[in-house]
Amino acid sequence: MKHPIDRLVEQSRPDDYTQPPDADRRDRDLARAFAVPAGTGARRRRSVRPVAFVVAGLATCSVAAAIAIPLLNNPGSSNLEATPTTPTASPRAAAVRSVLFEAAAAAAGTTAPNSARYWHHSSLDISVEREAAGPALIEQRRTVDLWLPRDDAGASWSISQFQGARALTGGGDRWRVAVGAPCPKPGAAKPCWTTKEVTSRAGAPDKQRIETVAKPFAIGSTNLSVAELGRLPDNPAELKTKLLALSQPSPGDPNATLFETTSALINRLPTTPAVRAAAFQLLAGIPGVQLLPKTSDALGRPGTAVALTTDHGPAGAHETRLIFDPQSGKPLAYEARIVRPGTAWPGLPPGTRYLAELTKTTGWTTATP
Amino acid sequence: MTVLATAVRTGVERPLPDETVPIQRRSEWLNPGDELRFAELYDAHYPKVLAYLISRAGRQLAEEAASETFVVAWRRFGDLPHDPLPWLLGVARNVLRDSHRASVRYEAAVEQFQHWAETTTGDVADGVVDRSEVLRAVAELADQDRELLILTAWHAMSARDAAQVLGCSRATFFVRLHRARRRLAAKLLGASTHTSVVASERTPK
Repeated sequence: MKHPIDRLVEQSRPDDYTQPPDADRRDRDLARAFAVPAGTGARRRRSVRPVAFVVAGLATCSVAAAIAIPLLNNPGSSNLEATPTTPTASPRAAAVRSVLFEAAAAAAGTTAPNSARYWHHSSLDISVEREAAGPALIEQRRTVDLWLPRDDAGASWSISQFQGARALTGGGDRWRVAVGAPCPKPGAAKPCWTTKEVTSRAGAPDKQRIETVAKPFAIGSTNLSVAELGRLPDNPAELKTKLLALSQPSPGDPNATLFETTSALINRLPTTPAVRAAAFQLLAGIPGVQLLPKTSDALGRPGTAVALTTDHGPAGAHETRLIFDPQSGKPLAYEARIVRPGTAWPGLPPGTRYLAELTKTTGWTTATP
Repeated sequence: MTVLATAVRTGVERPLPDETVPIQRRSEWLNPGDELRFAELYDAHYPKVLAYLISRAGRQLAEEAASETFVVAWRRFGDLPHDPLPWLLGVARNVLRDSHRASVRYEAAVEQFQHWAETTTGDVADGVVDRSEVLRAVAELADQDRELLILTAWHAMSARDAAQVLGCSRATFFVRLHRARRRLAAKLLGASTHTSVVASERTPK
């Protein structure tokens, strides 16, 4: 039943309170909107300043699968004692080096047929976040398939499908999770976002053919095309210099930046076998990287992982890891876990694997969907 | 659109402060039908967005803010929630707040309600009070109180949706709504001899 005061106010509503726009105004408003490209709005930030986080890349889906990377730097604290999964082997640099160089050799040995025009990446992305205004820890899954032309010319395809959500703790069958919402003006003081409901039900596949896409990737603030990624140096030292240069200006820990970009190169970016091999060797040289010789990814696939824990001060500490098959050098997954909770990952307890990017297939192909 | 997101996601940090310049103009990834779908969204929700803005700041400021609201919506088209109205009103609210000083908005809103009070006739259905009397009392409320009552009574918004518009928790919303009702009741009590309605005012369930 309505509250009597509400009813009074409701019944006093002016008769002409809502009116459709006149045709001129409608045309002007739509023209004004369409004058800017769709999708150029501010992205969601997952923290409050001054601990600034940027969703890396453009995660538009609520699956906050985008990695929220703390920008606070706290150098020298890469080796936290409280890693969520203590490496089973001593983190001796020699062992790390040995495994990564083996993977590098394997990765370098792979070849792509000359006729393979498309880079095809197929992945399952899993993210975990705290339910908006609720107790549950919600896991969301989404599969994504991409085909991008090697020479940057011609159409690209993408097929994306939400695979449903579930509560890891807290129960329920429908939950509200935060989704990106705009701040009306660049530089608005507080992040503003909204929520949407998710359930265990999967969505329909969303297939799109895209005629042109110029530079679909970014390393740091630099946008790169498929061809540009293919031209990255295949020498570890030069690759390191180049990746750090591309990441400028970066206020973060350079080791964390390198680990992140190198893992991305191995796990999901279109590169040549030689660059992939160089990336493995580069990983071996990053201080603080630890080896987990026998581990498995979020799908239970066995592999070897290298992990780096980064402390971001009040924002918390997280561990990122690249999991791969040491024999073939093929990537399995990139995962991130909470080591010490902080403002960056509100409501997530230590040990939570809040992100898993599981590579199903990646490589060059002649086929398109 | 979600797909591109993944396409460009390299997991690499980007510097602040920026408003995260998109890596790829997503318009290139949008279906040709998106303009059409956006126009449908506009037609479906514009009247309510404009009405809300008029109640907040009068017609003159409202039209510009509504226009800006839909520019933002287009920029975020693809991210919009299933029921976009609370989201749109939240954006509209921010647009207004960032475009005009509070005092300017407040005076324009009061003027608007006075105008409505002068042009609205008849009693409420209960017959206890003039509609214009209620409108005048609403005009005298603080900006914040007025907004709560408008979202609840004129937009028939659930507490959850209204709280989303305001960017506060549902619990906070209920507390504020309770106070707003009480203050309006007090004003009506002062203005009217019909006290029965006011007397029945009570805390929300």
